[in-house]
Parts: sequence; structure tokens; C-alpha cells
Amino acid sequence: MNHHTKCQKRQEAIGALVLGLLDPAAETELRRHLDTCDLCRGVRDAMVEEENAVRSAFDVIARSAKAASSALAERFGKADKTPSMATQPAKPGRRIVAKGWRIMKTHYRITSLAASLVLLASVAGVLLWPTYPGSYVLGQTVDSIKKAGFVHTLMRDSQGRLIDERWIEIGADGNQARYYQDANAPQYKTSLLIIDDGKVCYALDRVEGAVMLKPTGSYQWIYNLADFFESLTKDGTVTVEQNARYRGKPAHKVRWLKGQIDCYIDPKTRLPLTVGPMELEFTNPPAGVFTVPKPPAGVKVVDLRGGSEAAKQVAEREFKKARLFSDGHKALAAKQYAKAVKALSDAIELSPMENWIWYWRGDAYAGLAQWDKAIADYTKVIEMFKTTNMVPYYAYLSRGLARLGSGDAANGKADLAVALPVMIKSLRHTDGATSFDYADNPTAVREALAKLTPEQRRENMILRLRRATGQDFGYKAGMEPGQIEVVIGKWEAWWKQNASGYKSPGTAATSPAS
Amino acid sequence: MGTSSRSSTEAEHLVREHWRAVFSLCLAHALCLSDAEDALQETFTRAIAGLDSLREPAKARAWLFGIARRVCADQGRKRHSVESLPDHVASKRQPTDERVEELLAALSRLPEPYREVVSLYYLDGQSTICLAGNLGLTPAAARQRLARARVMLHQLMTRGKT
Repeated sequence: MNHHTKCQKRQEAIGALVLGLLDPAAETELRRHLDTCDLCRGVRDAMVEEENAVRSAFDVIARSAKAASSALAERFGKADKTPSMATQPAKPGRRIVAKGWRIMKTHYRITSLAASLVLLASVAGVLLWPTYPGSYVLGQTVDSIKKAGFVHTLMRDSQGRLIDERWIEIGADGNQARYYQDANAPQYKTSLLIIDDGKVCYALDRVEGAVMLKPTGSYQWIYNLADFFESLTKDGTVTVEQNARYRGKPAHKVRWLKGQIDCYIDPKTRLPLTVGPMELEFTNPPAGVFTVPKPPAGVKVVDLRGGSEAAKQVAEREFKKARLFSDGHKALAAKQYAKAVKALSDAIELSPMENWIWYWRGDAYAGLAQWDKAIADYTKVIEMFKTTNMVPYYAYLSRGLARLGSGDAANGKADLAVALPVMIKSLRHTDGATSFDYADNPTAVREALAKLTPEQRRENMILRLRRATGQDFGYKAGMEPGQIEVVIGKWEAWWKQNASGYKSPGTAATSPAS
Repeated sequence: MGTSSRSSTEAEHLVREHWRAVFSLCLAHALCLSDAEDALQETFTRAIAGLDSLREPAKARAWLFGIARRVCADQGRKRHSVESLPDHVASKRQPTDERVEELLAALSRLPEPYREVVSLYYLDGQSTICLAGNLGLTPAAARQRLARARVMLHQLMTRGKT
């Protein structure tokens, strides 16, 4: 009887345990008791199980609240930019989008700016919010694109200057049939005129003063735009805001969370107005836009079709770059930092626009405790994302640690202030940890990383958080969901209490665009 | 409507900063999604119309909570005058989800202060420090109230199932 009454009193402590509110001493004492008391253990187990149900019920309410906030927004201005506070996991469908995205990769040494932005997007630090079904808008968009015939795309730099213009003919199968691109981005040392008439691809590189003749299809943007939108309908990480505005006009805003890409859709035609940084129009091109011209006089012409000598040279160059890249990875994984710096520096020479090479060279410098050089390389990565709406959170984390290593605590903490909230959020939405996992595993094959379980991702992230903050809230592999919830709650509470200490004013780290 | 002399950006800021917390509080009182949404609208309508009476912006949350509690009390009185408030509030209105129905039914049987902490904790994701600040409690008291509320909720939910 007495024992029973005591256990009744312990229930409050069990409630606190489930919510992660117990102090360590009380927790130890209670756990000791739980090992011996079936009654209390039963209550604890039931509450842990119930905790998920309670949270998911509140998640449903949270989604409803989101609708209420939209109504508020209409009356009083924007209420909230985040899609929801709910914690529904992303639905499967990643592979379909991955495929759709892969077809955007251009062949050979493509300097197409949009393609590089798009590729950067696929590996940028991305935080996932829960899913809103987007099929309503997107299904009709797919149909409209199939009927459109031609796409005209425009991309501007931060000063509004046109740096990339394309005309794409959409074939009956939805694939790119003919292609025109004029890219002029001095900041990326790019000036290209590409015309693909469906038989040959003519590429005039104005910087190098050469014309390359390549197989048709060598340059692409999104090879099949309808397929791309179709894949988004199945991705499960897409949110749709139907009452958005684009340039003052009503538009549907489709946010692909995993790729961190926004698309605006015209509600009348259902055609996309933008895809990421590209503005789109669906009109007929001027006559002759797909006509391959004669190469300008005095410019050397390199035929890269078939098994020509020049094609072999290009292939060798690509091969050499891939080898250097791989040597650098391996050396880095084996902690042979000087060797890694050498290989990755050579790789940068050959391919200066690949963010990951810079990032891993930064890691190699950090391994050598050459902080200034590490910071410079990480900064380069961050700069590369400046013109996009993506944030390489992993680079902020590493630069923060390098700055702390160099003794620059204020700027180091300011960098961590960018990365930590995302890292802590990814304990729940573990897809958000993808880019961190890739950053930490240079030798791993991307597909293998994609197969990491949420538990493995969470565990990796906990290790990073411990390293970055020196905090440890007792996470262990194989914990039960309720206990994991407790640990996550502790990290969240810790950040709420300590965030201000990480944002010292006047620091050099500029906060990225949200 | 809002004849406030303060700028609309201030109103926007107020909405953005506090709507979730206010909604959480409204839910704790209204115990029904649509009533909580109505109360949220009404709270901000009143708040923005009377923005001039908010002297200390740092206390905006407490001020909004005061308004929200009054709005919910008015709402409750109105409901009473039309019909007697059913014991099982959630079961009467169109619950969207079984889990929500079950949760709201249990929540409706908790005493008010406990409902508030539960709702603010789960829905607005507030830490106990934050709860303490919002509800005028010490952090230890907020922790205790939350733990107690959680146990009571468990008992009610278990009872609801048997």
C-alpha cells in the first residue's frame, strides 16, 4: 500500500522524464526505480508510446492553425513564412526527383550557369518542412507544358543584368528538341553561344575563342520540363502556396524543399513563371534562332563528335579531374591532409566552380590547422551560393569551427549561429542532414548516403552538435522513440536558451537570405 | 477598422511574432479548432485596433494573452446563451481527425492552467523557460505544472480508451 502511494507520487516525475524536464540527478534516481518497479515502468512505457500520438494530434492542429494564419496574413500582412509547424515526415519519392534532376546535368565540361546552380541546389544544405500535396497545381502544369511548344528562359544577376537567355523547343515526347543559349556571366568567366538544331550542337566559347561541335543534346537545361514537374508531384517535399504573388500578380508558389527551389505558377495558364533563378515565358522564338551559324573567321573549330582526337582529349581531361578529385577524397579520409590539399588544389585548377572541391580542401587545411586557408576555402563555398537562394549550412558549420580554432570566437560563433538551428531541426526532419552527411563523407557514394536511415542521420548529427557546442544530452544508439524525443527536446531547449549568446552583434558573418 | 496611429508594419510584426502562441492559448480555452481560429482572428482584430494601448512592446505577448482570454470568455458566454456547453466539447463539432478528437476530449477535462501549458508546449513548441515567462511562473513552477498536466492528460486519455 505504502509502496503504491509512493509510486503514485512518482508519476509526476515520469511525466517530467517523458518530456525531458528532469534534472540529471532525479533522472538517475527515477531510472533506478524504473528498473525495479513494473507498475512505474508500465506507466512510463505507456506515456512514451502515447507521446507520439499526442504530438501527431497537435501536428494536425498545427496544420489547421496554418490556415488560420493565412487568413490573418490577408488582413494584417504576412503572418508566417514557414509552411507549417507540423512534423510530418517527408513521403517517399526522392528517387523520381533525383532522376528528373539528373537529366539536367549537361554533358562534357559544361559551364552553363543555371546547370551549376541547379547542381549546387541538389547538394545545398536544405531544411525540410512537412509536405503539402502539390498535385492540384502541378498536375495541370504538367499538361500545360506538354502543349506549350517553346520555352524562353531568362536569368539575371543580382544587379538585374541578363546573364543567360535560352530558347528551348519542346518535342512531341516532351524532351528538348532544339536548343539555343546565350550566356554572358563575366563574374563566372563565362560567355557562350550554344545552338543545337537537333543534329549538331554548336558551342562558341567567346572566352577561349573556340567553337566546339558536339553531339546533339550536349547542352540542356531541364531536358523534359513536364517530367520535372511530374516528378515534383511525387516527391513529397513540395509545398504549395496558392495565394502568393509574383511581381504583383496572383501566382501559385511551389516550393521544392529538398532542392530548395521556388517555382511560381501562373494560375490562369498553369504554366511556370519561374523555376529557381530562371524566369520563363512560353512563346514562339524569333525566326532562325535554332539555325547553326558558320563559325566566325579566325576562330578555331574543335570537332568533339564521335571518336575525334579532340573528343579524346576532353575525355582525358575529365578523367584526370575525376582522378584528382578521388585522390583528394581518399587522402582526406585517410587524414593525409597535405596530400589532399595538393590533389584538390590541382582539381580546383581544372574545375574552379565546384563547391565541394573547395569545401573539402578547406577540410584538408583545417586538418593541418591552417585555419586562415581553411576559412578562405569555406568562405569561397559560401560566396558561391550568394547569388542563389540556397545556404550551404555545412560550410557555415565548418567555417565556424575553423574560426573558433583560429581563436576568433566572435565570428566563429556567428557562423555557428547560422548552422546550429538547422542542425537541431534536422534531428526531427533528418532529410535536412543530407548535405552534412555528404560533406563529412567525401569517399562515400552519394547513393549510399541516400540510404542512411533517419536514425543514422540523427546519430551523425548529434555527433556534429556535440563537437560544435561541447554539449551532450545523453544520446545513445538504439534508444527508444520516447527517449530520443527527450534528447531532441533538450537540444531544442538548449538552443532556445543559448541562441542569443551565438549572435554577437557586429560580426563578420552575414546571415544568409531566408 | 484599425484606427491605430502605429504603422501597419508594427501590426504585421505583432501577428508574425505572436500568432502561434495566441492560437495555442485560444485552443486551450476554446477546445475546438474553428472556435480557436475565430478567437485568433478576433484577438488580433481587437489588438491592432487598440495598439496604442500597448505601452511596452516587450510585454506584447502578455497583453495579447489578456485579450485572447477575454475573447475566449466572451465566446464561451455566447455559446452558453445559445445552448448549454456540452460536457464533451470536442465531440460536438466537426473534428477532422480521430487523434485530435481524442486529444481535445482529454484536454477539455483538464483544469484551465494545465490546458494552457500543454497547448503552448506542444503547439507553440515553447520551452519551460518561455512558458514561465509567458504565464508569469517561475521556471520550476512551469516545469512542475507541465509534468503534472502531462500525467493528467495521460490518465484522461487512458480512461477515455477503457
